[in-house]
Amino acid sequence: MTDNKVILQVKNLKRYFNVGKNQTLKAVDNVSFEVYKGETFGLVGESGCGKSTLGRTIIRLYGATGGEVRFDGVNVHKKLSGAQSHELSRRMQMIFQDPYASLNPRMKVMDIVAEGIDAHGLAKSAQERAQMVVDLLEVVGLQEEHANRFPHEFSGGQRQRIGIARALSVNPDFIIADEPISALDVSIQAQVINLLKKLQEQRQLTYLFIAHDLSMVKHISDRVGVMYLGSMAELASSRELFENPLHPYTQALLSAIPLPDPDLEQSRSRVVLEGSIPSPINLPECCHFCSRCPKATELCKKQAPEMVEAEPGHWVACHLIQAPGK
Amino acid sequence: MSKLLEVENLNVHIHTQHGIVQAVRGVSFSLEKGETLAIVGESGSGKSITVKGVMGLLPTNGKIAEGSVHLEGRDLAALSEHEMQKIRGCDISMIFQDPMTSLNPTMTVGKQIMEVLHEHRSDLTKEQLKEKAIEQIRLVGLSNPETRFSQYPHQLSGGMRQRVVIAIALACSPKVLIADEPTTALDVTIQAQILDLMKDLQGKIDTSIIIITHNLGVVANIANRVAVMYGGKLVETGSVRDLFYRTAHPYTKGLLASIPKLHEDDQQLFSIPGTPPDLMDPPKGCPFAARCPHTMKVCQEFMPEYTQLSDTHRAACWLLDSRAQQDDAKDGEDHD
Repeated sequence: MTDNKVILQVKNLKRYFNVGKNQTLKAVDNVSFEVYKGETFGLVGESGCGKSTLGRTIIRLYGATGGEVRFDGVNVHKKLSGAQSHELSRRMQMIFQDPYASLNPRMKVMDIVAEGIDAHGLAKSAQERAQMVVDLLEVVGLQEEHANRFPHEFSGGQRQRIGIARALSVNPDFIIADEPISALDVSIQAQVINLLKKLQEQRQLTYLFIAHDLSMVKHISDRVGVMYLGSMAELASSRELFENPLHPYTQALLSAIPLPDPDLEQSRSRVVLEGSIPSPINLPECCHFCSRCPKATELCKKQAPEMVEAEPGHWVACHLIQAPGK
Repeated sequence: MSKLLEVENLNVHIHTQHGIVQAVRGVSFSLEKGETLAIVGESGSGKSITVKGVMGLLPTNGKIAEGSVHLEGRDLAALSEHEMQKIRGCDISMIFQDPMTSLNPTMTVGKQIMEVLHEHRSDLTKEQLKEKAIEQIRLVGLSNPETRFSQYPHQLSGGMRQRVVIAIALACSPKVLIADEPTTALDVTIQAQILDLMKDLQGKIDTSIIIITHNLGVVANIANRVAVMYGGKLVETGSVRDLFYRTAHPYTKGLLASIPKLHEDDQQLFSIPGTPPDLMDPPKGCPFAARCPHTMKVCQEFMPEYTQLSDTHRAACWLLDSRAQQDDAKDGEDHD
């Protein structure tokens, strides 16, 4: 499914927000990773860790404070020609978390889905436009008659399908799905995930899948990045990350997920983290996890760790873990 | 063990502009002393309305149309609002989903805890109330209880706020604690802390818990018994091991199959097709019939009775009915 062609390269990306007098919120701080063509890259972390900001910066909803994002070799935050910018926004699409807030309640499904088609001039006639919309609705499992209804007439799962149809309408290569299933019920979540997987196979899509539900991320992703307070803590193939987590935060996060198996759940020992995430405003120069880390040392409080490749393809930012050969 | 809370044939109707929504349709369950019962279901299945009916906190357009709620032999549904107020917060108390909205932003944490104590313990002086409130803050594991006492909710994080909500709910050592999705708005690491806290406190003050959730992992973590709701009805109840290892109802089976397992590599997730029924016009037969992979003619026409599978375990499904199993056996013979 995946070949090793890099479609998205994020290098030392920073996105800071000014929040009042001399206060900076470093929502994304020095994050680097690559996404290969045809894969699903999962991004997990707790609320406030900057995963959504990262997604929004990649798709240019926010500008970058520093660093760069290269999509197929093009730096997306540089000044682009109109045609380049247009092409970029066609190839990169986004699916949002809340299917109730992300669809305009005054527009019919037909017009919501066709917005991208119109903006990019993909349909030559009104008839062709209508046909494209109907085809898209069928692809995502809705029917032709749904095109003339308004969003409020649909359930959450159906609305998310409309959001997916809208993203697909311009034939993108790369889709950022920002918590696409967290607002949905369990039995509906599986429907949407299966749909996303089917579409990926049919259309060779690349996904950046942002979520806080680790078991779902593991299920859908080829590789997973774990974020904590604006920086990437660990990055590895999904299997490797879940079987052999190296960063203490990943270990705690994995052990905190309640498993749907009472015997296992009530007998296993878990690492329960003390306290909660510190405020991301004016963070000191240190490992951001050191205030909650059960293994923190003096070094962790003084210096932020670098990402090292602990095992082939398994990157981790922790002072306790050395790159092999050092 | 003695029955602490008994809900029998509870029917709740919500009157709306478009008609009557039969949100809860004949739900019966009981809660024993010291146990934790989890009510599981999707949004719209009636789980929140059920416990709101128990608490007497139904919205103004909601009415208990039929059924009874007994707390230690007293019928709560027949009590006046004034009498109910004495029970609420003292004998039964509730934790809500969102700690942001269930605390008063203009009152300090301490004052909010004292408010409940004052309501139910009029014998205490102001100093004693304060002392007790601080003790309560310490009990739920917040650091610096004296400082926390005079802080406002916005100065606390989500997990800390939920601890305050728990402190308020437990201030009068209630017999029953109802927790409506207490961890849904929290991150996983905080969720683990809150679940541990609830289990710890249950041991300390000897209360019974009803927890409402849609997260089956949380159920496996905390519950002794589970009730699964679908379309306003209880479709399966049993001990937590009955439910996870001897699953009987097709809806529960589907629910369990549609969550990805961390320790297994499965390619395709099972998904239940379709959407839940509209309770404005509930189906005549089994509410799950339209989405069930094993639907038979009888499912669409008649609501199945409960089949008692063991002392603790029962489910409402025609497949489990003794007659259906005979048919199955006959079918098998035919094929041979």
